[in-house]
Amino acid sequence: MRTVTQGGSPHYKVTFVSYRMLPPREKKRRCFMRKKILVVDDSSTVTLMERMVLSRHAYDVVVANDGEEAIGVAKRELPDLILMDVVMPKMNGFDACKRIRQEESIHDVPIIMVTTRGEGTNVERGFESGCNDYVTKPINCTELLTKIHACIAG
Amino acid sequence: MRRVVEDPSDPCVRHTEEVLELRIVVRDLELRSVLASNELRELRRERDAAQKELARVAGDLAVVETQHAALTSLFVAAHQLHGTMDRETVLSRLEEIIVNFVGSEEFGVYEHTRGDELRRIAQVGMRDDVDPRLLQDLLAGIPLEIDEKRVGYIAIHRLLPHKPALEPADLELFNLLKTHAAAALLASRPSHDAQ
Repeated sequence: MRTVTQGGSPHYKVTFVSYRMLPPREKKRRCFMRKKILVVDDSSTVTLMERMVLSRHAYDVVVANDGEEAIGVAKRELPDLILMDVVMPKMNGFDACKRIRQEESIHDVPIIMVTTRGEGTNVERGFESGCNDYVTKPINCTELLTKIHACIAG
Repeated sequence: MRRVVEDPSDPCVRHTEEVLELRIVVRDLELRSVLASNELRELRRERDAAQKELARVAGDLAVVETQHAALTSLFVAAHQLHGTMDRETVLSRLEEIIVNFVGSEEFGVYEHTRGDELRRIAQVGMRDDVDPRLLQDLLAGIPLEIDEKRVGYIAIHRLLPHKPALEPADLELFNLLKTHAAAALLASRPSHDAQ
């Protein structure tokens, strides 16, 4: 629970509740709401591609261009899922994933790594840093959408 | 003729009547059972037909999704190449397209200079000392042409380990790059030369 004060008064009390802690009826209600996805990639080509694919399937998309920016945007936008590139400037996807898992308000947001590095060691490192799933580039849209749906529904 | 008068209080007569009634009920239930079996068979047939139809529609949808994804990547590639006049941005976007859409980890982009010399203007994963005229182990060569004038070419040497081979969608992308990458390179040349 966090209390924010604006100019002494009035007081706004903002409570962050984990999705897993919600009652079943509230979970069901939220299932029908439009989902928000945070796309994290330093390539404008990839973010444009993912934005077009996701928008067509009724997802709202917000974008961050590196791991550091992703943490800030995630805390502000509270997305339902994060698509995270690995190789990025400032902070790579693995470190950003670890940091997100430590943040109280966003620690349980599902993260799917989307990267060209599909080697076993990289996949293993991704799961160690806390990602829920892994997709390799070039993106297979059907695979990506299936995994997104599975992560959000689960 | 001798007339028999049945006594309703006689247990034997009562039981006989009950048996007759039960037989009628049993026959009725048997008839209903046959009708229900027929209906069940019909419903199962309809369910199987619906499942087949669903599978067919799912297959069609998968094809449409694949085509849509291919078209989206073509649109994004064209949009990105023509969205700037800056040479460095054109080249970095061209690299992004080849890495992320084709899935290549070793390729070079070559351009014919005004003196018709061939020089490498972008590369990913290649050695610096490769002579463009002596390229070996070429997986795909994409000439960059506009108005039948050769601007340069893209040489793809190797794909990412998890991508076994080029696909039909890649060939469509190569066709797009042939003219659109050429146009983008030509359009960005004056500002580059001025610099």
